[in-house]
Amino acid sequence: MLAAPWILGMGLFTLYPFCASIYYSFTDFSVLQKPVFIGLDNFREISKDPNFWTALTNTIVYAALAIPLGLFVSLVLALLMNGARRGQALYSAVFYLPHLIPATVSAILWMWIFEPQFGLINSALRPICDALNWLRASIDPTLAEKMRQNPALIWSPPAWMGSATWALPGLVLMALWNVGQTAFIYLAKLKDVPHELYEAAEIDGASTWQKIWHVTLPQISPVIFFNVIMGIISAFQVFAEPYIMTLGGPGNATFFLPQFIYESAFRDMHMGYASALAWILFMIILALTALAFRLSRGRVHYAGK
Amino acid sequence: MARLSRRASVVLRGEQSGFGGGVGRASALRLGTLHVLLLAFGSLFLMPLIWMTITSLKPLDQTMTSPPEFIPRETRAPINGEIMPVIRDKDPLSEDSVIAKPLAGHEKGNLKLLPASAINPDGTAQIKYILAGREVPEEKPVPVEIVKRCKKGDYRVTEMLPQFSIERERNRTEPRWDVVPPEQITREPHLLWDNYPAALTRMREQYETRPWYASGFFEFLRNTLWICVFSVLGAVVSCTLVAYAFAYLEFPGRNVLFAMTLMVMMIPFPATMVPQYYVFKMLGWVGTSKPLWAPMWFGGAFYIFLLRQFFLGLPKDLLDAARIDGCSELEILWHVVVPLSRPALAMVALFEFIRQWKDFMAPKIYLIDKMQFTLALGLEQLFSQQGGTPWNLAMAACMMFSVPLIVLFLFARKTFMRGIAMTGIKG
Repeated sequence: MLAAPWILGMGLFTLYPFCASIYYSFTDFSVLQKPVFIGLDNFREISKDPNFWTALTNTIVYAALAIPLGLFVSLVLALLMNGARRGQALYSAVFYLPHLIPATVSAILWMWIFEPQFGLINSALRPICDALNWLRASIDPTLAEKMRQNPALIWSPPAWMGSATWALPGLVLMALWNVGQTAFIYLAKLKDVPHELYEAAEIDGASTWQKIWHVTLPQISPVIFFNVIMGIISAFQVFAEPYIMTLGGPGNATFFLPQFIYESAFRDMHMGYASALAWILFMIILALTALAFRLSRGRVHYAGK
Repeated sequence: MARLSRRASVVLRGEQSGFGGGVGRASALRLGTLHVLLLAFGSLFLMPLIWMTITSLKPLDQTMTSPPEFIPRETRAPINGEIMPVIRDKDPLSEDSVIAKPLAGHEKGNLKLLPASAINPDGTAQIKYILAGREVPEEKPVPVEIVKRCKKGDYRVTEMLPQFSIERERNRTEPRWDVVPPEQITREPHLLWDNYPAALTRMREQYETRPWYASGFFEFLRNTLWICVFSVLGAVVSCTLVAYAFAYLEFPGRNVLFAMTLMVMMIPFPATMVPQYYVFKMLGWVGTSKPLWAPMWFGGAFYIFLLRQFFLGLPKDLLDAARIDGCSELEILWHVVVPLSRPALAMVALFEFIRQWKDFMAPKIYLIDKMQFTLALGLEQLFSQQGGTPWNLAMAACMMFSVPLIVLFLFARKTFMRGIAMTGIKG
């Protein structure tokens, strides 16, 4: 009972807005006036809005790239750390550090690293591209002449944040930089895997790869599942980095749903519209989570089952 | 047979390892490979941070080098005989030139760099001066005194003054310059700490009159600290209470409420953003920092969840003993549970502090007045200022923003790691 006031407060600041946003999504609403009920108009407008479809596509592409890659990289790191017995504290600390960097700093830092002319990445890629171009020209002499006439044929490092095709992969790369926390969670859980299972597998003649596939992964599958859900939730909420780095550009390439919601609400003052958008976002996350739950039925082994 | 017995001896020795171990040399090779891979990945991960540090200590012209240089260097050259840090012009002189001092006209007494061909045989030269923002030539050539002759291939170097000196801006003294042959220009490793005060200065308004600790970066810092502290206090106090209730007290609807708490964790911030904004607007809190920390006083779903898990793991006997002694629930909480939960509470405090420090979206929505900005907003604004910000200063500002968190991490590493592990294991 003593916790009641606090719970009410949580209700006020979290649950009420949550339910209210359902209502608002059916209204035409700018904060300056009271909401006006307009039924499904918001949703109809959304389905016709090209901005929405762009944002949706971009967000889904980003999530489709970032979540599996993030999962893979963090697992690999965790497995590596687990195998290397000593120095785990040091390695995990190193991998975790990027997670501590605020999004604003991360955005600015990576803009600098991605800088097409002087940035770190392109400076490393340039000699590689030069070597590759030289190789191509040596293999096919006619190509050299074509390259001279049409510079577009020459391979060069991408313009990252300035290029519509490379901006989104750049953001995915940044997301991969942040996998340290996930890797550490895996590492902690990896330690719980009973050794007898490994030894039994080894006696059966299992190779390292087979051990990972048949022993390690099933044992930590609850954590994998948890991290997938967390990954879904966070991938769909990416706001600070694309907003600061490219403001959705170049030309809508990094225009994600959270930014669209933010702009609809606070720049265009279409609160109802924004609420409807936010709800769609939530539904997507819910759907993907439900999908994850469904897919996990046969594959996630909880201890004791 | 022999193979099996070797394996059996390994098992008997009870070797611990992630992959079930190996035998002898094969194991050392694998271990070595793992470490090599880990070191490679580790350097990849650290590289952006190291690069940020290095860039923050470079002079501006060194940031625009291709290929990038890893040691911050300072360019030094003699100006009028005195060796000092300088900024070197990008390109050398394309022809023989002279440094000349006009003896008449608008630019009388001001040294000018002219191509040697511009000096007429009678000792005069066509001088340009600035009128209404444009360079215009004098009506006729004026007599000049030749101060120094320079050769093609020499570089013009300008004195590098401290960037943050407001007095200099007020007095508008021109930096000294000279032209020297390339042999006299040296580049030595040097950390340009001056970038940091310069970044701080850039974060202030142009005609700032308040003292340094009350404006710009320090203002943002103060704001951020306030918000973080209140947020942490709120989180620790309220989440403990709520988690305690969920863990130990029986009341109707407990499970339902807890399930709702869990669901709330999944709601993306954009979904509640708009109505929350409306609620705060009705309360009159928009434009203050209250929306940033006040909700924490009512509990945060994630922390409630974690603390409840932790409380459930505490030995029940102690609580029962206290109850028998006649303690009220609050007293039990305060005297028994809290002392036992110090690590968990520390973890909540730490996580919330860091989350608030890093937060960008909420401050962006609710803080309008520049004087109330947090560091995150201040940094973004610095970066998108008109004219852009030089990369070295931007990196210096980034460093100042993130280093406190890294230091915090290094000091509280155990608490951190335990906390992260807890989030995963109970998941």
